[in-house]
Amino acid sequence: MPKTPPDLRRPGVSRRGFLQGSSVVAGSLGIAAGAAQAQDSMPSAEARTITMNVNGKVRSLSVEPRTTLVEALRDTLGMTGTKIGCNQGQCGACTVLLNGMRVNSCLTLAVMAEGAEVVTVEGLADPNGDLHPMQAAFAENDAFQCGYCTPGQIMSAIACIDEGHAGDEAEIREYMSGNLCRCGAYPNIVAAIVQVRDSQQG
Amino acid sequence: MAQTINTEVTRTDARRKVTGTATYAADETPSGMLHGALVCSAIAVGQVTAIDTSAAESEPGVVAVFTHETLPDYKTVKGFYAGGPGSSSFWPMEGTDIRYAGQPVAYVVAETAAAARRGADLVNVTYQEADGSIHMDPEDSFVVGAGEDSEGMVLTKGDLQAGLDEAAQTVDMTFTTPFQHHNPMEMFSATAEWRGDRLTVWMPSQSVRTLRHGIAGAYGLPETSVRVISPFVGGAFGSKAGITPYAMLTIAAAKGVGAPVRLIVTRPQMYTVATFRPESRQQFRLGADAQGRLTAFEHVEIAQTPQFGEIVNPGTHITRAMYACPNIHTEQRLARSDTNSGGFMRAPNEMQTFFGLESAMDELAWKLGMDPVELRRVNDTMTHPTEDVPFSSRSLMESYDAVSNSFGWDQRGREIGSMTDGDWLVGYGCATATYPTNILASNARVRAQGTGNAYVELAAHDVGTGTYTIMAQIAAARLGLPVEAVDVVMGEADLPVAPISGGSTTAASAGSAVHDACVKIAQQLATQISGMSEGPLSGVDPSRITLDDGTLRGPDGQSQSVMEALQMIPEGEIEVVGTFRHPALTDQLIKATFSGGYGTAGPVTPEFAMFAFGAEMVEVRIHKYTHEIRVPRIHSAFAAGTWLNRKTAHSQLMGGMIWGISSALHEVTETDKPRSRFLNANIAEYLVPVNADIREVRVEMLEEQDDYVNPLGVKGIGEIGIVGTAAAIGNAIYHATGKRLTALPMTISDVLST
Ligand code: FES
Ligand code: FES
Repeated sequence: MPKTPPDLRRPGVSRRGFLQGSSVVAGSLGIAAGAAQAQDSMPSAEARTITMNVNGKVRSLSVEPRTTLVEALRDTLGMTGTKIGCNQGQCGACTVLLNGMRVNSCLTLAVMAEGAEVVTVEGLADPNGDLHPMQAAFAENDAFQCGYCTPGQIMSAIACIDEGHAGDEAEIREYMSGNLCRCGAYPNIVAAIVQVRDSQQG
Repeated sequence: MAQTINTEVTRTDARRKVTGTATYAADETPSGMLHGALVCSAIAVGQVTAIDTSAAESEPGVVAVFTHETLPDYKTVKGFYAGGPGSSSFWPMEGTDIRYAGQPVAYVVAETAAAARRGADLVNVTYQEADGSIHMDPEDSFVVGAGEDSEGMVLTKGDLQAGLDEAAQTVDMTFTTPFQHHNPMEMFSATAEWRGDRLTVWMPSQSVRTLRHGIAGAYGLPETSVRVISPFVGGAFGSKAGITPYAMLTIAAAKGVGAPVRLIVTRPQMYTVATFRPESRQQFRLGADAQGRLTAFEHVEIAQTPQFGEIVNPGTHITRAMYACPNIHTEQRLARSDTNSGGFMRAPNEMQTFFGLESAMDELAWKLGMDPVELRRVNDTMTHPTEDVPFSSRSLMESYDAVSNSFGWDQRGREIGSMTDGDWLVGYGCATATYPTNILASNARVRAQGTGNAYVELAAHDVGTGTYTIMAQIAAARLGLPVEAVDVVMGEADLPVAPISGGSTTAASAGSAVHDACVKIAQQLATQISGMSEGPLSGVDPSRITLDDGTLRGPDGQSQSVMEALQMIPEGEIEVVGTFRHPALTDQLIKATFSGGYGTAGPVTPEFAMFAFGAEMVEVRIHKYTHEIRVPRIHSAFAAGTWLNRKTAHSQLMGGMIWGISSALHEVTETDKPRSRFLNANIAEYLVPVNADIREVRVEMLEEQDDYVNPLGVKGIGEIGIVGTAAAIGNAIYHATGKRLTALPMTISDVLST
């Protein structure tokens, strides 16, 4: 059974469709001058300790309710493999797997990951150093240039196959459209995913 | 020995990039680091009348709130276009002046990023607002410089009017291109740490030496007291070259709080605190005789510039290099509006201007009843049309012939609207691409060890361009090593001088310095081993020993591998600094580069004009009823001298073409005219292609030899991919629909409108 995150189960969902649903976070096209400059900040509140399993290790950390998962990973745990490209749920650079499903970790509060299993790009390679097949395929197919979107692309690509959304190239393109690549590596990203999909089927 | 140049080599940094261990600037966290956040102006023009920081200051976690009145020891530098290292020549927070929307007005430092953001939102700024305009008025433009000057901002050759009068057909067209923002995926950031009067800055950069030179100069520090570190850059495209106000604010804030501070500029703020592609108007008048030969060529470019400073990216210098014509007139003009400084964004002189030129050429071909490829052929020239020097190499028509073949240009219907597929109107379009070969001085240090290793060190940058890999390839090829045996260290200002990564120059200029270092190693080695009592080259005149990729060869067929020879000398290794000083580089230009500037020679030298060329062809499909525009196929062929790495070069050219599709169909920074500001300042409403927008992209890389440009024969390829794309798409839309679109981006509503 392919695992499908609830928000991807709707047919025809795309980055742009998805964004309409998250315009509160994305920041509306400002009408009031002050609002356009605001950072959509949240008030502080007392920190609490949460526990989550990150890349197979149980981690306890102290976070405020407003702390996002990506900031907990990067700033609290010092795991900087996961990148921030917008902090607004628009680019997919921060994609991680949360209980096996891909999420934008900048749109996910750390407290929502309490007790959850989180997999980041740092958790993919075998401890002996062997790359995950998707990592190897990205390297071989030159599926990046600057590499900044790459951790998110790779997490998303793994989920794309797991969900059963890698049937043909058109489907891959559609289900990888939540991950922007400004360098324009898209054709090579699709080639990498096709290669991994085929080797898994073979 | 496997071939290492002109072959497909997987990036040497690929493993780091796919495992999340490549460290970008914001991944560094000095101990005790605090977080910065900018408060940016809500008005475009006017004055700050008051800033109330009390709420922000009492917010938990907030450490300090700095304003123009309280930020200590804040320094500024001169703008890039005025010959300095800065991204702008107007510096915010020096006083109460507001010159553009989104200008920094306060700086918050806090214990966490969330607290800094909260603090920024709690700063209450009161303004007195004045009228402004974010758009230029092209009717109110001025010529750059003094007119017919040495820089060629206005150039006249022959008699334009006579050329128009004698033409069998003429076109007179005006095109517009919008504001665009680079939007690299990596957000702008700066982390500053002071230890006494020693400063370390981590910042994604296209020029670590520009940063260090400028920052050290501003603070009156010796350059040795300032470190600038930028090993990986998450895309730049021109946005990360200069010293930005947010960097200097962070450096001052770190001093102010006595702790390291990291600022990550928010995506919306990225639209206002750094540079962008200025909007432009491109006016063309062309005339041709019945055979298609150009009799008149006029290009007037009017580009936006801020109220302060003159941002000149002279596109007319590139368009007039394109086609033979006896009567040419070009003018480079500017018009002012209320923005921050624009700058250079991927193909800054070429993207806008070639949309105009190549669309106008297509229109001329239709008027003449000629195949547009043939129109380019009859006007092709091996001599620069206005400079009277030959091109060092020019494979334009070879590019057209190659791409015609791969694309199937001969299948193109002769008439407008003659190709359909079900409900889709199909159109084919083509356009020329070119990019100047700019030349900069560079050094590089290479240490070759007889154990089978080499180290390459230089202050160049890999902004996604594959620089780590190609530098390793060059050293590996020359020294006879596998690519993996070469370690490359870059992205630090302390390393040997290498130029700004801009203008598609790094591979050619910095790569040539690596090449030179390897040649020097061979020369030194030849001297040492020829003086030894034993060995195959013992006693041979060292001046007659040559380096042949990994092997030292004597005049009579004696030879020894570089690695074996290194093992014979007592040191077992040789370290040298290689240099690249093209004869066209004057002392002044070399000095500019060595003091952190952009001392570029070319593309025209007294001997040659140096450009890379290419041709692009696209298939466009337009839905009969919805008028949706799709690009199912885009093919290209480029000739740019030696290909170092066919894998990374392919990615760069493909990425450029995708940027071209983006410029053609997606990208525009919309404006809020009444409030004089950018509107869609985020990466969802500023459209760039997503994966589903991109279909077949094919790139052919032609062989071309050019011994003049540099010892490697390399021209730059970082930017040429974008150059012809928008026109090719517009020309295909015309072929499909008979609608000539003259404004970027081209949208459904443009196709719908009559
Ligand atoms: S950083 Fe999370 S979607 Fe962009
Ligand atoms: S590789 Fe640079 S953004 Fe994707």
